[in-house]
Amino acid sequence: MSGFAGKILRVDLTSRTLERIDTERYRRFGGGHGMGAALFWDLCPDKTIQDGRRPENVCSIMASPLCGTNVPSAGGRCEVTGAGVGPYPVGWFTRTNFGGHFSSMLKQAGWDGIVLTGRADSPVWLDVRNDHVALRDARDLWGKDTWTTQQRIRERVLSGADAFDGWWAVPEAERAALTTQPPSVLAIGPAGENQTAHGCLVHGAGNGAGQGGFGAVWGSKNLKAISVVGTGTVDVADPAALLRARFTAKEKYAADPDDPDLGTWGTLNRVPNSRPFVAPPTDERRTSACFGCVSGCKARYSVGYGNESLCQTSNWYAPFAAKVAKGDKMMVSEIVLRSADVIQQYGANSYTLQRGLEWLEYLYHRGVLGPGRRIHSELPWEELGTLEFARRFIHALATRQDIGADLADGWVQAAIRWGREDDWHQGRLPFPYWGYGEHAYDPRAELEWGYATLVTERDINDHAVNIIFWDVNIALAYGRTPRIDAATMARLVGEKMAHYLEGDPSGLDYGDANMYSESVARLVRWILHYNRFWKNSALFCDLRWPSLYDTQVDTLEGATASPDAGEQVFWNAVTGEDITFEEGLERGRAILNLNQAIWTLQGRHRDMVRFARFIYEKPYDRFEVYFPFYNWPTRDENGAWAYRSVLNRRLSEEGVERWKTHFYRLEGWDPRTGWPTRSTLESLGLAHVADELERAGRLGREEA
Amino acid sequence: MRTLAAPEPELAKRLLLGVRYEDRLRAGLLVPPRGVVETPVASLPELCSLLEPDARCLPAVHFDTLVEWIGGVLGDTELAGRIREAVREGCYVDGCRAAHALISERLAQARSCAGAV
Repeated sequence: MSGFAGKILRVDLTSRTLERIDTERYRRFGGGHGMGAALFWDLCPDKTIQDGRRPENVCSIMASPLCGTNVPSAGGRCEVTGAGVGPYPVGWFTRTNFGGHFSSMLKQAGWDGIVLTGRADSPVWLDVRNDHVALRDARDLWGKDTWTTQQRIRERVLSGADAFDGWWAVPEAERAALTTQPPSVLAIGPAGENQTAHGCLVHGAGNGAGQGGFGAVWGSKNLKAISVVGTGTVDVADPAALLRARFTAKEKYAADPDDPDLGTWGTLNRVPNSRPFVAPPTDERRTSACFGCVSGCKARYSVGYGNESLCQTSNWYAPFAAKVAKGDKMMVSEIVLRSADVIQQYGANSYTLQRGLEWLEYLYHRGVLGPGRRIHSELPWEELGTLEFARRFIHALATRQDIGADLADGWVQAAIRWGREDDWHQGRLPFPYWGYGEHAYDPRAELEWGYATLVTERDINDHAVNIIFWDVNIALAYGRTPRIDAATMARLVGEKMAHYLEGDPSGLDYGDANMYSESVARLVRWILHYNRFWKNSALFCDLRWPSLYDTQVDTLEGATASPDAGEQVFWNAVTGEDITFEEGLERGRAILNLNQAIWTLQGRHRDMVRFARFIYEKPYDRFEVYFPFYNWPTRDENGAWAYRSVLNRRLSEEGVERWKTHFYRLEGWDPRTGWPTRSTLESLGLAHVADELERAGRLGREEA
Repeated sequence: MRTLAAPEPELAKRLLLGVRYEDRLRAGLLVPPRGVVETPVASLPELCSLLEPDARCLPAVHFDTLVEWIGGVLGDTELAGRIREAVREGCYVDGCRAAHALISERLAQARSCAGAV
């Protein structure tokens, strides 16, 4: 079983027992999300579960065969699955993902993943040292932030070890092995302990598994942290093939660090960039990367704050800090990055906070929220934008104090509780799907983002084709001729998705006439099947993969599915399997079907699969006001491709329903209910899933 | 380039102090790959910072809205008019840079005026 460690650790927290599960049993699901979903299916005693805080919930933390290897941007991701906390109206079975050095260490310790069941009767942490595993008392860690928790656990693990000159001994089966590596720790903070929807898992300074409320899941299980240290390695089936592909990726597809093309189009060829989304606090910084990654997208600073906070976390408070800083960018940077530290320490998810806080600010200025007002809050709202406000706000959310009590189950839930449901319907609380905030890629403009989220369970956060928005619109903003014209773009992307689009690239056409078409459903299927296997199970990083086009290459073809550095080349080199790229997509289809079966048992029906009302009722005018570009490949009435604006439109209910029917039919699901059918499930080797759906009276009917 | 006429103290104060929540300029920053981050603007220093050229991101502002806000809400019709002229030519980023140059100039004038007062 090259690539795989061969065993999964099951921890039943109720009985405090440990069990080894043979990975072979779940091998066909690849790793990550696929294995997590299959384990949930097999181990969850009640799949009607609607709140991830129930003890029946099964939470998996999974690596993949590629973790711990040097496959570019795939060696350090880790996938977390289970029923979530915070989505609306149901805590669907969901996923989140984080980077760093946890999954690689898990593999080096000899485990493909950890699956948690039950609930401990008092706080515990899990101590994994190679094959030596123990649950330990965490009562003295309860209440500690994520950084202190990680530090205390590292000290505990190392203090009892035989250490000298930077080396220390880790027990192995028959003897001790030496390492210089400290344990990798994944922990929750107060937001998770208090079982709030904002709770996430944090590893290192800023590797957060944010979405889905998994901090609350761990908090409900009384699990404070998992510590892992290993001294093994990952067996690679064909190291020479792996190195060949790695060098090809570097020499053919990647940026040349000595002569970078800053205007390049694509993903794998991006110039590594370790800057936060506000001004870097200092030039004295060091790049920080996940295991084996070519990007190095995080940084550590000599000033000692903002370390490893990236993307949303390094920006969530910027619009508010800007008011206080009055044009001082370094002041904005310090407030935002220090507030990022607070978020990381409390173990809170910054993603929904930004959009949520905009809404709270609106309620404050409307005289609805504040001291003695209808929504009573004693937070210092007049100081919104200061670091002190951020501290108090995050503390309140994480500890269920002040308005944190009402927001603990989620943002839409709070709007309903406060009688402000109309704010959500009208988009004042811009949460278009499943209780998640809009990501800036509104479903009315960027169709695949909206549809892919709608038919799954969380903001998809998948930049597979979203990269087109960036490449095209930044070029146009600078007055440059697009480096790839719209027709060529459609051809390049269409060729990568040939099996799905059947030679017709019109799925990429987001024009008004094609918004609800079967071809867009085919495009979304490709994205989801890719996502579910290559990205969420094999754990290729979203910031680099897929590589659908690449201006570094003469033919403009990206690395995805290529015979020299495609995903399957790396997969086969590591695992010794011989699968095609399309077979990987087929595994993704099976995993998506398993997801849909779980959601079906949780209560999903196609009638629930709807956007928030403002998506149907109001035109998308946000960019019209802010930024005059949202150009996307479209065809005119003669079929000629061009980049055209997709702004200022809304989705029709009838159109979305038509699109859903296309999607369900293509997936082989019952279009009346959205439930999977026996024939589809059996064709994917999931007959046992069909049996359980049938027993529950929720098996889709076959179409004549 | 023609320089802007020095602002009256009252205008300088208004530009620096900023406007009420409901009168803010709807604007944002386009931060790859995060998307447009809404960053409403209340004052000239905030606007100047938003438009400052930055390799990490692009300002997200509609020029018509910008001109209307500066002229109508801030009451600086001269600056508004000059920006309207300046953004007429060139691409979007050129327009942002031209607007930024004018706003920087006005900001320095306003600060100088406020300091003198």
